[in-house]
Amino acid sequence: MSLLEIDNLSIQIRDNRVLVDGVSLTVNEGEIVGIAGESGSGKTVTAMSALGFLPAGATAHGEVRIDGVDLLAMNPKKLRSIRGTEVAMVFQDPMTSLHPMLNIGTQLTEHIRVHQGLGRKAAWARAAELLEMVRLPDPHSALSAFPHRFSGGMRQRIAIASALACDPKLLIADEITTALDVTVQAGILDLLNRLRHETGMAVVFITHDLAVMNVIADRLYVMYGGRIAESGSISQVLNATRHPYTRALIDSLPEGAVLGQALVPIPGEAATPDRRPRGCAFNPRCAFAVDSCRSEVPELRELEVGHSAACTVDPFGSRLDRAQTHRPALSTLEDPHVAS
Amino acid sequence: MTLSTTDPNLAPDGIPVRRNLWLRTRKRIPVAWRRPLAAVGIVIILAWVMLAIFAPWVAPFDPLAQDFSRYQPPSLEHLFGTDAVGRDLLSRVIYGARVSLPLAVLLVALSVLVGATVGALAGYVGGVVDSALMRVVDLFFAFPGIILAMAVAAALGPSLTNAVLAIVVVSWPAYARVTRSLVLSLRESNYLAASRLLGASSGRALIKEVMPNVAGPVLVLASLELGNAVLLLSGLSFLGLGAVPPSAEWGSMVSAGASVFYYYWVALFPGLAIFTVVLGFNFLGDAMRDALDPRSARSVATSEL
Amino acid sequence: MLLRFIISRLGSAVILAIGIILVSFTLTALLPGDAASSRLGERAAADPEIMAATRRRYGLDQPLYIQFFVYLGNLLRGDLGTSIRTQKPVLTDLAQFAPASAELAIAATVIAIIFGVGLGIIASLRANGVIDQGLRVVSLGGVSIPIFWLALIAVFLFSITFRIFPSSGRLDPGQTPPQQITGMYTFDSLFTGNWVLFVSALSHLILPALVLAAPMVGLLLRFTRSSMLEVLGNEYVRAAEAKGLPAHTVVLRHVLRGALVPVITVLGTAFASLLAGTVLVEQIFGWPGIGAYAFRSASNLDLPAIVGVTLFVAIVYITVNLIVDFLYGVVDPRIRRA
Repeated sequence: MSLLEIDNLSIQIRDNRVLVDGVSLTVNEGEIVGIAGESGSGKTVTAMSALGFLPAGATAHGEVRIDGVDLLAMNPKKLRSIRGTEVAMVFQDPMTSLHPMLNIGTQLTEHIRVHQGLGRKAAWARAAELLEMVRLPDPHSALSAFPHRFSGGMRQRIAIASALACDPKLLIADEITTALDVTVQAGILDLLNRLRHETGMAVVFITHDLAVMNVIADRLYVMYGGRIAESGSISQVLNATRHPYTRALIDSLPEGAVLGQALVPIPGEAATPDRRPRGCAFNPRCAFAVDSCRSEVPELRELEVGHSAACTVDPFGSRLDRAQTHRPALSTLEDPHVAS
Repeated sequence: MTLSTTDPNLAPDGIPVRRNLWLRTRKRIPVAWRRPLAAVGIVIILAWVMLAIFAPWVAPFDPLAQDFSRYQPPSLEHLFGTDAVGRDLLSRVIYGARVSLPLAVLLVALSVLVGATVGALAGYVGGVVDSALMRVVDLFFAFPGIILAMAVAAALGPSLTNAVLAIVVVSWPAYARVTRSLVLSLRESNYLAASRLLGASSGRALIKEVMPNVAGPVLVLASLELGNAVLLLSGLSFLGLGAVPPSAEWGSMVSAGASVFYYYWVALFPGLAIFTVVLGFNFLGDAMRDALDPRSARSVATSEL
Repeated sequence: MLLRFIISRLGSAVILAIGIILVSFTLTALLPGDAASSRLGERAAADPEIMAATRRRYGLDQPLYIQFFVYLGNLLRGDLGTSIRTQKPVLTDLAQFAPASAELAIAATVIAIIFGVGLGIIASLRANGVIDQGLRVVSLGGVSIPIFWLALIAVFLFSITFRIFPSSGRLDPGQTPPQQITGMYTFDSLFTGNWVLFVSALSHLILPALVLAAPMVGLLLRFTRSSMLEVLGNEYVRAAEAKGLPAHTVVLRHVLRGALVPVITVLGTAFASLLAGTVLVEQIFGWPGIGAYAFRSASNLDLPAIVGVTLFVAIVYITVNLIVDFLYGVVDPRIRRA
């Protein structure tokens, strides 16, 4: 049994708009699993379901199990006892995810006190410890300060400390580096990696940035149009890519351009719940699309152990070697600032 | 480093983030639900305007004729009963619309005229003129208008004209503030500068470029204030500082019933008339505010203290 | 820094107060009513000699600007002049009537905060649902109802028909007021432990306070709702929910806290403009407060009293604005810094 098992999850909102369509996903203890995709791919909605959150007015089918217990069947009270303790979350923008009018100490201790029943003093001591863990300078005076005193990177460290407060088994990190400068990003990724080893927690890391993903994730799910396009270990997906969409994502990375490759933007617009093409959602933007792509939704098929892709054409399957010589492997594209 | 452009109004997954997505899982009722209130408001206002215009044909009796026995309870003949001197209350309530509605419009129009002129001048000229005018505005904001109205009525004798003037003296500053802030934001914008480059004189620019852009929000505020104007006027009349007998004015009619609780209908129906008119204006104003801007003109007026 | 803030605010407050006096002086001087004749009976006013003597005695023969500076000078010594009607110093009158109005205004504000903010929170959490629509009507009804009419209905229903609350005054006839501490009978009777008096004072207070609160409830409800809705969309609210906090903690500590600044602004404006309602409500409930005093003074063209009340109300307005500014800093640390 894995820590998080999402089983055939579908989420719809009004007007039958489908946000997530038959997604299955597992996260094992202690591993960092990436979910990559563009806006509207359903990656955040999928990850939020691991906290029992659904968009307003949404209905969900399938199961989302933490330690074998289905969150979707849980009552609100039980859900609250899991949030913050079993599963915690760090949000994209640290400028907006901390309450501007509550001091850091309150924001770090309120859930500790609710979930662990600690007194004020003990909780504040624990909070100082947490700030030390995330390497915030001068943790004790930081506790009585308000968020506006801190830079974006420092705030994100505080948000991570808050998420770690009750020793969660799983951390959802939703684009946590996107709003930060590159140098600050590296520090946060470094911290996350270190904390993962120290605490043994698993992380679901959401980003659209495959370069960041390459540095941090053990396994990767690539989502498009509410479905999983490709999944596998990080080297399987990025170095032995089997789905045209994943390939297109890699080709559109600016890092490629830095190394003398032409930057290839993905043509057309990303599919969204409002605008989802029939058949394979990627077919209008796909260079390899054939007639069947426009009518049939491709199944996710396991191609080798642990590596799956949802493409009936499978253009790179036979030409794998050529594709690899054609493009530099992503593992050589590490961000110069990131030491993993 | 982004792969796609991010719309600031969209959550990472393309769902509008107007309101909290996750807190309210309850299904939302369509926005159209709100419109009925606006429709009710329009119907109420139109009904009262019609009653005011066609009062002589609609009213069953002469509102001033003391033809009946006094303090008759509501009956089929006198739906709202009769008052202390035997006048038909229904007819008086209907004729009351001829007093309150035009005066409320006049009052608000005068306030807008004074306030918008001062505000536009302050915002457009700027500098010393601006700060001097705005101090005057501050002054009138702090000035208790009802005391002024009472003093004026005491000195000049109670009359509706005096009541209107007294209310105008204290209600124009709100429009001055709104107009000034609108003009200031316009002055920053490019197209005013552009029209100056084209050689338009200051006065012309003020009228041709500024006016149309300021008019919208100011008129919204003004329409929101119509209800308030009716309340203030009838309040002064209730205190005996506005309409004088035997005029069929709602506030003074309520006042006439205030001391005779046993004959509850004397105060009940004129008060109900005020309530429905103001409610109509506010239903309408509320919908307009929603439709135009969440940060309404009124909030500009109150938040710059 | 706080001190400098207070000093600068007090400075502008003093200038504003002087301006108020100037305006009320000018306006009362422009009024055709004769301040001297209003001090005399009709027969005495017809006698030019008595009139001239009266003018000299009250300094009314001086030019207006002299009168103005004389008034300012007296003001510095705490002398607001003598009321023509009561023949007592205006300051004494104000001190006598202000506590009753303060009691009424505070009670109304407390009621308005409880119902306005409370219902506003409920409306925002049920936005656009049936409950929200109902509360919208309640809110608009509150700001639309003529307060003098509501007062009459309240008296008719609760005093005359059901006899739950007394219809006028601050105490039952024959009761002596409690020993003066604040001048507010409910507090004073509580401090002196006089329960009978407390119950009486409270039962007299409830009805006028409820009536006075009605428009404020409407206003606060609407602003609380819209401000809460704006905050509900913030990521920090989602973050608080993701921490597994109980719903009431999320709503009260996180959402309401974030929504408080606009609510405080409206509350301040509403409190400062309570006077108009106070005049009407005090008139109907026979409540011996500033509103009733202002009404009688104005009706009698009692100029020193009118200027005195005007000044008093302006000072209340200025003070409330100062408190509002101070509360901004308490609620929002980002404002505190600036």
